[in-house]
Amino acid sequence: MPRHEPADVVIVGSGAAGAVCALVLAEAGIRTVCLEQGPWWRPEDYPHWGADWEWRRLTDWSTAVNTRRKAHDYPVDTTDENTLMWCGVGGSTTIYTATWPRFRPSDFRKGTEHGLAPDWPFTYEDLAPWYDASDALVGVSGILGDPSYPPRGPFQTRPLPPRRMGRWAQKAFDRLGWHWWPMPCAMIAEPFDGRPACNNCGACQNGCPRGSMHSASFTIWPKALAAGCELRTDARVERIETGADGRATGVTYVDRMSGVRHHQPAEVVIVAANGVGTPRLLLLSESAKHPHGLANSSDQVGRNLMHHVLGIAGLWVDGVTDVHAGVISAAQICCEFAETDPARGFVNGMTFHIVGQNGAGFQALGAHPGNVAPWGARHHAHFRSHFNHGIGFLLVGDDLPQPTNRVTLSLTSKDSSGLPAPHITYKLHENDKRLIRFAADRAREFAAAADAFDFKLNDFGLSSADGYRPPAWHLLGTARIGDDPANSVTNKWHQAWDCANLYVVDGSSMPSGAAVNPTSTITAMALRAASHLRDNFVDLRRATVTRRD
Amino acid sequence: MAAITDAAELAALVDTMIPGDELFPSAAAVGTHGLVGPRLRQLLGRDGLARLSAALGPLAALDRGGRETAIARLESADPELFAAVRMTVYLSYYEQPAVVDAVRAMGHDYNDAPQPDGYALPPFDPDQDLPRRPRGAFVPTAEVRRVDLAALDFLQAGAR
Ligand SMILES: Cc1cc2nc3c(=O)[nH]c(=O)nc-3n(C[C@H](O)[C@H](O)[C@H](O)COP(=O)(O)OP(=O)(O)OC[C@H]3O[C@@H](n4cnc5c(N)ncnc54)[C@H](O)[C@@H]3O)c2cc1C
Repeated sequence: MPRHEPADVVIVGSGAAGAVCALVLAEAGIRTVCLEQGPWWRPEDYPHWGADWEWRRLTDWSTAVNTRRKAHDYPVDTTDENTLMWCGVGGSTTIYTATWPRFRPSDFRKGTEHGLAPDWPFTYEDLAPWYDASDALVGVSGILGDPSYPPRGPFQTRPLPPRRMGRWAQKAFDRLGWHWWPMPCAMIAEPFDGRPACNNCGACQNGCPRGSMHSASFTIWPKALAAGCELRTDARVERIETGADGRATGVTYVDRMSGVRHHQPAEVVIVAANGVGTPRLLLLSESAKHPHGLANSSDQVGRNLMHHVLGIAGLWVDGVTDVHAGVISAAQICCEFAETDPARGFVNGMTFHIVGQNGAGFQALGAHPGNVAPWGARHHAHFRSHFNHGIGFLLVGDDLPQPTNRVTLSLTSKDSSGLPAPHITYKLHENDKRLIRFAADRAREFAAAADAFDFKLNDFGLSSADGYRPPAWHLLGTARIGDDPANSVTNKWHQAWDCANLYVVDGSSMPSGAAVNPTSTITAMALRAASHLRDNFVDLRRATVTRRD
Repeated sequence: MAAITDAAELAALVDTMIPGDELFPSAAAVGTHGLVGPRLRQLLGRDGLARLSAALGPLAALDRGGRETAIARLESADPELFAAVRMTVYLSYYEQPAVVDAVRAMGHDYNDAPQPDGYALPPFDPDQDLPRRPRGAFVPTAEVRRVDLAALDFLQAGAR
């Protein structure tokens, strides 16, 4: 087996968190190698340039791993959800839509608030400077002054325009007396850091080949490579190796192009393979010292999987909405119901996002809620009244972490390298169901306030006999940070309790998921964790014990 | 027996699903079936196409009413297979240049593809696009308190 020169740090996964770790460490002169199972995606690979862009979005460029079924992906063995992610340089930031709200102070205190999720081992205030620093790194459009958040650092560009869709929505929010504010997006509305401003093309659900959106392959990787990080693509890590003392010694990976196995020794291993890939790899890395999987003496690895509880509505109005153009979520966020109010019959909160509906083909298919134009003689009449008259209304709720919602290793399904695929069990808690039903009622109220002539809600099966089976694109909680080794996988610096030179830095680190998109928080956490490792590297590279402080 | 891979069968299928009107061309008139054939094969595979052919039966020889009946039968008997067909037909139709032109003729600014042109990006206008009276609040860290769960019986067992 080829052995490489020892690295100071080896990072598994080049997505939102892995890229930030690579940049911070490489800029400090720490010899850093990142291994990524997928390839580079070049701007010309994206679907945006061809008339078939909508077809590609739902087939070969689908964000659903089990639809795409490429060799660089891994299948997900589950009947509970449709797991969405992207594998390749930049990870899922390659195809996400860069909606960039922050968590709220109370999101870090759910243990105190109701006890059905733990408190985070740090507060909003601890993370706030890292939020600001990560925004400065990636470029965020928005405007200060939202009274539903604490004062915060600057945005890098003005907000994106809300389109006629957003203007229509504003009026409905005002009629209802609900909070609304322009949605922060990691998509620049003006040139920033050598990148061009968004040109409003409306296809962000395919990613952004211009680099206007923060996709780590455009925004961070060029800098990390220039700083000296070595990035090996098509390099699938099979296991993290540990020595007799239980410390990590490096990783074994397979070069997917040649099939040859390699060993990459390292003093520190960072796993940043996302909320599904990370627990999978930790479970695959069992050894005599770590018989239940690496870093899993607490039995928490893979548990507490969160995705947010979701619904998506569409309303159609007597006015043109520009809903095929512009950044998908660049209109408003509504935080009216973001804080817990037990009088509603559940704990936790939700946010509503005004979102676009893609192109003519997808709109004929009814957009996200599936309000499909009938086939046959009535097709064109439906298309005429609905095309470019829609407003998307996304419902995002804070689902509870449940130990039974978990990633384990599949007994039947394998990836193209023969490694067991992850198996996912994900069921809603009664609290989550109550929350999303409440949200659905609010969506109906909103449609009425918007004078919609048509409304459709996709509750992902919640009200059907088959039950809730959502698309799952926020992959969180499966190797959480904490203060207590008994119920967390790492300490507050993301250092594994059981293996002092192993770090887990990605969506799996989150103890609770809040009611908003997670990646601004994942990025801020990664910046914080990597900076701490960098600043204390002399000691931490040799650490044999993981401390609580 | 006529198979759904035959051009005439495909044309009958797509034209029945999306006929023309005074503005929009029919799906077959703009060649949609040329895309639909290979795409259905990509999506459904050989077996799926054979299943589709069998479920639909020959369409080209039927009149419009007969074709509609055959498609409606598929829609109720095998909703999943039908959904794949509908997705393929609709997406293939709306990417045809003549259909994009029809959408534009309705007065919508609509491009053949998202890039490279995109759409105009007017600057954000704070006078119009910010709330006149901003609303909203948050609970600061120091003020997060235990909420009263007494009324939420279903949660009692889980709180820790
Ligand atoms: C369709 C979609 C839309 C989204 N929209 C938003 C949004 O608007 N806002 C938001 O905040 N978030 C959004 N997200 C979520 C966001 O993309 C993720 O939160 C974020 O990318 C997670 O970062 P990560 O570092 O945890 O993992 P990822 O970015 O997923 O990166 C993990 C990487 O690890 C690699 N990897 C895994 N296993 C191995 C292995 N064994 N060996 C080598 N490499 C491996 C993977 O190939 C992948 O590249 C969206 C996600 C999807 C799928």
